[in-house]
Amino acid sequence: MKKTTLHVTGMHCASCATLISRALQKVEGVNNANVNYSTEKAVIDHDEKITVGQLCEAIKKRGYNASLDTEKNRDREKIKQEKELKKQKIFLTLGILFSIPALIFGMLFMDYSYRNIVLILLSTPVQFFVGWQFYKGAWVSLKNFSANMDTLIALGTSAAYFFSIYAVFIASLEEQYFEVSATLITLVILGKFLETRAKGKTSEAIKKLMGLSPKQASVIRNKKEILISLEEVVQGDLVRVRPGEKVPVDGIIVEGYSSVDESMITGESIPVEKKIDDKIIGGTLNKHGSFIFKATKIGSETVLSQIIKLVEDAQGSKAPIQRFADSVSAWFVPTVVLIAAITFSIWYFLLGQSVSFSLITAVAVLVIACPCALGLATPTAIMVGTGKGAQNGILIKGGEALETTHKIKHIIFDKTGTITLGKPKVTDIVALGKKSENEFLLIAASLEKSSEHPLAEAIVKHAEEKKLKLVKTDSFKALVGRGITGEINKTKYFLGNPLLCKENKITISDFEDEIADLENEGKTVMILTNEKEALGIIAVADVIKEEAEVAVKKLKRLGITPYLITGDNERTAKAIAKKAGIINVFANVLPNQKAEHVKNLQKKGKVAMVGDGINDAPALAQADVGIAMSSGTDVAMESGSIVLMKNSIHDVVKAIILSKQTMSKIKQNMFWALIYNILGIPIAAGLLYPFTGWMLSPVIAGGAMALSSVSVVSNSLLLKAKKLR
Amino acid sequence: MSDEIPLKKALFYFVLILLFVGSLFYFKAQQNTTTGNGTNDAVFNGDVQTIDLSFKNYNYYPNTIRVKYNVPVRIIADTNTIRGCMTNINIPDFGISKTVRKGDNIIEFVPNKKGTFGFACPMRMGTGKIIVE
Repeated sequence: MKKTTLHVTGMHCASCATLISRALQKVEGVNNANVNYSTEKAVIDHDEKITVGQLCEAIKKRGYNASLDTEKNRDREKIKQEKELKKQKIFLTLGILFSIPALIFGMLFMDYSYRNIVLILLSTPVQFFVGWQFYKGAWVSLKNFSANMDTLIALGTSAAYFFSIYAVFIASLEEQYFEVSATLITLVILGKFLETRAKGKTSEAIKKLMGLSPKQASVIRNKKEILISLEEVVQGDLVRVRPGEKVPVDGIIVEGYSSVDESMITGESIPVEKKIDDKIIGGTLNKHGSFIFKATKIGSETVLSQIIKLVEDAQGSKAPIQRFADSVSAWFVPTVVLIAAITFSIWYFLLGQSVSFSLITAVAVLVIACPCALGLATPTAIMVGTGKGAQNGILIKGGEALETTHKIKHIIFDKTGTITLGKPKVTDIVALGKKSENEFLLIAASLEKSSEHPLAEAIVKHAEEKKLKLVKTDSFKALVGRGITGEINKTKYFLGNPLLCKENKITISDFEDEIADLENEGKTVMILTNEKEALGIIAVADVIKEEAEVAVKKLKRLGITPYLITGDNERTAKAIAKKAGIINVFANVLPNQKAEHVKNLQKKGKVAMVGDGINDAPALAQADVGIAMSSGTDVAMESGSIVLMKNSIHDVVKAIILSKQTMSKIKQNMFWALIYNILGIPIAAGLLYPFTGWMLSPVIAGGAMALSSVSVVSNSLLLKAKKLR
Repeated sequence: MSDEIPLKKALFYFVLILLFVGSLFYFKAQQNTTTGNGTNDAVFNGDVQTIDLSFKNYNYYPNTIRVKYNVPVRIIADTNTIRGCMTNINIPDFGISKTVRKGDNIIEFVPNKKGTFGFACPMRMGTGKIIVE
């Protein structure tokens, strides 16, 4: 089995993604294909013998484009984007350089004999060189029997330009409108320039993230300390970090201790204490201590690189609400062309005005109606929103995730490690019969040594604290949903829940009360038995996170119903849930059943699942929004559409608030984009003329359009200042 | 280089364009004050009322004209001052749309409705009112 990631382009909505995923899964040898509309990626599990080419073919056959998502391809794409941006900047500069003199000449120097020549020389390059993209865009759209913004601009400016040619050379009129066409093109190019920038993938947030890595590192090789460039650090290198220095790469401390400011990566403002065996993250800032660490991850594998890649993918990704903008444009533009034609006809034929008067009125209609700012509404907000999230340790994987999150009505929290700290501790031991507490603990711990369960860790740790020397366990077996079993000194033991005892036909009626009491305190109780009888019980408690109660309250205030899901028994689960303020509990859920529960709940509304990024992967994937509590080291591996770097439940609330703020920002932007058009069209057409004498010059119309584009961008940037409360 | 535009730059662009659009509006506002471009009554010459139209302060002068109802009006345009696209004078309510030039600079019509009617050049840079009473 092989996994291939492809970069897919041409999708314009989420259903395209479904279409492509189905097409891919029809290919023989493809096991699973996951296509994401907003990040433009397809992740495919397939047989070894299927080639990348075959996969791309399957996608291309449907009318989309696909290429391998490699470092090289992504870089190539970035370069393409930068080139496009540079081109637009040149066009804008040229436009401004030519339009300003054109405007001056257009309004003054009436007696200059070469005036018309100058105006033609100034406006022609703008019309056909800078403005060529509008002709091209209009043509492409025409071929598809539709009209877009390019159509409006091409039509409007050409009308002004060619009428002017006629007026000057054929009719020898004194009128000409060359400067109008030039100025209009320049103003629209400004909007397009802003749009290209907004769709780029490098926000201020990314720029800051990229600047976090130091350029050099002090490594100790052959007992000597040398200063090398960051790229030269290899896995296994011993790196020294002094006070005030930035940590170069990811690693584990081997000597020394210090406190480290991790706020730039996790958003956690309080410095974290680090000592031997603690993990250290590249890009963080060392405070007052000094230490040496062993490099474990370098280059693109560091947490920082993974975060950058994740946020980059998210920026400029698409959101379903854009479909609204696209669909509006689809019927809006042809309607405007029609209105412009009607406007011209009424003024010329009905009211007997001159060709120029009627034409210029129609041009004003075409220009003021241009939905240029609409194309900016979503990408600018998404760029700022995802960037803001990243700075707060909330990594959102795309516009789609951002949009869905604000619709959440139900949220399911995994218990261990999510609502609770994930650091269970042994609280009670009740040994029966002849065995002492320590003997009991020794058996339990020796059995659990082979288990990976967090509860096992608690028991083993407790034994180690008591300085008990663990003994060897043979034939260890983990019994899912029940417990574990193993042999010590030829005696078979079982350690697990009451269900396990029942299966082994061992009675526990004597301690049922005791168990009930402990469970009602929110503790998890395990019973140690041999093949014949129960030997005792051991209770483990995992403390809930301090912020859980407050965070849950906030969620309820947002109108979201919280749930708790756990493999624990119902009593324990309910007790823990109560402490957090959660009423709805799914208990006794096996790991592979979690996704089912999510699916069932989705019938009631949009569901978010909060859990461990790696272990709860299926449930996170099933949820409408999967929120992963990051393990802190493998961000890329995390399932789910949102990754929380700080492991804090407060961040869950913050993520939802961020989503709501961003979505309302997008809607505001669309309002601002459209209001200029909607109010402007009747005014430009002259509807208000009979009453107020108001009319709109095309140049003012162009200015209003550019104004709406810039106001949308500024409005999005204001999102940065809003607090996440 | 980041693609995201810093807030300061965006606001700078915003103010710049606002100034640009605003100045165009300002020019127009200047034009529409009656001081400077005055209200003129048409001069009654027996059976026709005449008005001399020229260009002053970036607009038609006068730009508020009073005429008598049902008496033929004759507007004589001064082609020395009225230039460029302002040569195309439009009075939609009376179906007038004429490009004036040397030798052909007279606009004649009968104001057969009472009220206030506008006239303008195609770009709406020059605008004015005709009051028929």
